[in-house]
Amino acid sequence: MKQYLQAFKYGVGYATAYRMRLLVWFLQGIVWIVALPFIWLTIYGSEENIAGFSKTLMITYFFCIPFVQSLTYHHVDYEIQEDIKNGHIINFILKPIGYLPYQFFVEIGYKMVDVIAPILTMILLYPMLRSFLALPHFSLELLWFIPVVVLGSILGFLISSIVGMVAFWTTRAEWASHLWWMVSTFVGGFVAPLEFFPETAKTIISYTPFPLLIDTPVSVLLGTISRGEIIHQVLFGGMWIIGLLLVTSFMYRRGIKRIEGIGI
Amino acid sequence: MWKYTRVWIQLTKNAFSATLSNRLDAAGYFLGKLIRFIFFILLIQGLFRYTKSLVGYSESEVLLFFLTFNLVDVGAQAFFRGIYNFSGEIKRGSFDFLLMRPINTLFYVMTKSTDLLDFLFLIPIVHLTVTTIGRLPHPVHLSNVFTYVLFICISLIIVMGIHIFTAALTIRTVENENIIWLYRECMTIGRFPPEIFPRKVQFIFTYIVPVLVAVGFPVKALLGGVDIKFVLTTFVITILFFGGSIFFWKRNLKAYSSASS
Repeated sequence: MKQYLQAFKYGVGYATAYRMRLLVWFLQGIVWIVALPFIWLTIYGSEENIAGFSKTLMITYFFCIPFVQSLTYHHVDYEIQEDIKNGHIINFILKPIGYLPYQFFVEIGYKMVDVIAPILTMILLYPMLRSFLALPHFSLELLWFIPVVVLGSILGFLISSIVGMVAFWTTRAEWASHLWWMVSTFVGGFVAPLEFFPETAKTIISYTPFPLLIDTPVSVLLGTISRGEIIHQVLFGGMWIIGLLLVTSFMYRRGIKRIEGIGI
Repeated sequence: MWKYTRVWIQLTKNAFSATLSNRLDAAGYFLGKLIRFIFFILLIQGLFRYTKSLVGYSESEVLLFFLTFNLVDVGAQAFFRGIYNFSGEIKRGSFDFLLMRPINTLFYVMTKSTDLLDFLFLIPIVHLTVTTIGRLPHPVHLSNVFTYVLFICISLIIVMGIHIFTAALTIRTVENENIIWLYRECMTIGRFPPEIFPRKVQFIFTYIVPVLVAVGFPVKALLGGVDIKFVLTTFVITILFFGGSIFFWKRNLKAYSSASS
């Protein structure tokens, strides 16, 4: 376990090594929180409610997205692709440390720092957006956010790992990361709540783990999801985690057999 | 001029060969871009299920803002993809070798990775833009179309300036690959009509990071909302911004110190 703790510390160190990157993260979060709410405010116009979302609820939804996204979205796919391309992954075959668990703990360390930027953004923008926000009061129901976001984070990591491990079979795999990002920004609820999707699309997406990345955790924060539905999502997410764990394990074992450490 | 044209043609041939060497990679990238593009169009169409107009613009006019954003953004990426790999060149030390070449370093950095996929992607974008212009609620005069094309060219200069700023910042800081992504996030503002945003936000994205000039102004020109003050403002902002970016690049280049090569 000590080696994984060290991996966690490495993740924290890596995230804090360059202050410029932290500043850019912070600014990226501001742009996002500023842009989409105004678009939706304009769409609402004089309407108070669209698809079950009030104006304030909609703004609050986008206000919470950077915070949730920083916890559930992982970019370990790029790291895995680089390690496979450079052959660095071979080091892990010889060491008493699992490669994917190592990456997981590095990501956890990274996320501990990554989450600071959106929190600062929310604190900075809260006074300006206060009249538009409908933040929930603290209640025990809010505690459901913790297991839901943990599930979302694990799912995000597993999906990102699977995307990254495509590099075992192709020379370049950036296209897989690109494709994953393009699809997940829409079906995860990043651009609009899933309630705004057509019924057929909503039904299809509900069978995927993507809502657990953004839509479900934000809905828990906003209090727009019942306890029964939360429990259903948690159990559903648990099943997806088991399935994806099997897939990542299978892909890793098959992929490691294929790897050639040319020039290492 | 002829020397730079020959260099650009050769760099483009190299970049295209690299892209086509891995067809799965190329197809995956293209598919990702297409999916995102289609999703956004569906989103705009979905938004108009709930409203008849957006700050006074019809669905086809809002779609035109989005398509113009794509024309400018994808066009800039097609030509200046090299900036996205620039931080890697500096970290590896290979930028030193670029400085020794008998060609403008900035030109080389920006144009060495001309993106074939973005060129191909421009085809459906241009087609849809032309179709959408044909479907606008009010007829469009030919003079407005020429003004639109002229403003698109000006927009490409502005976006080139933004890319130069990010390249210059890349020289100063080490871990900075997400600076260019900050620009991409800012371009999110340009996907929709400028009037959606409060005046302060419009001011920032018109005079400081002129994204709204790059995307919104060409559409306003096409829709006939142009007067001489508008044209002069655009030219002044473009000249100042682009000139500032070149100045910033030269200043930062003087401050460059190689780690090793």
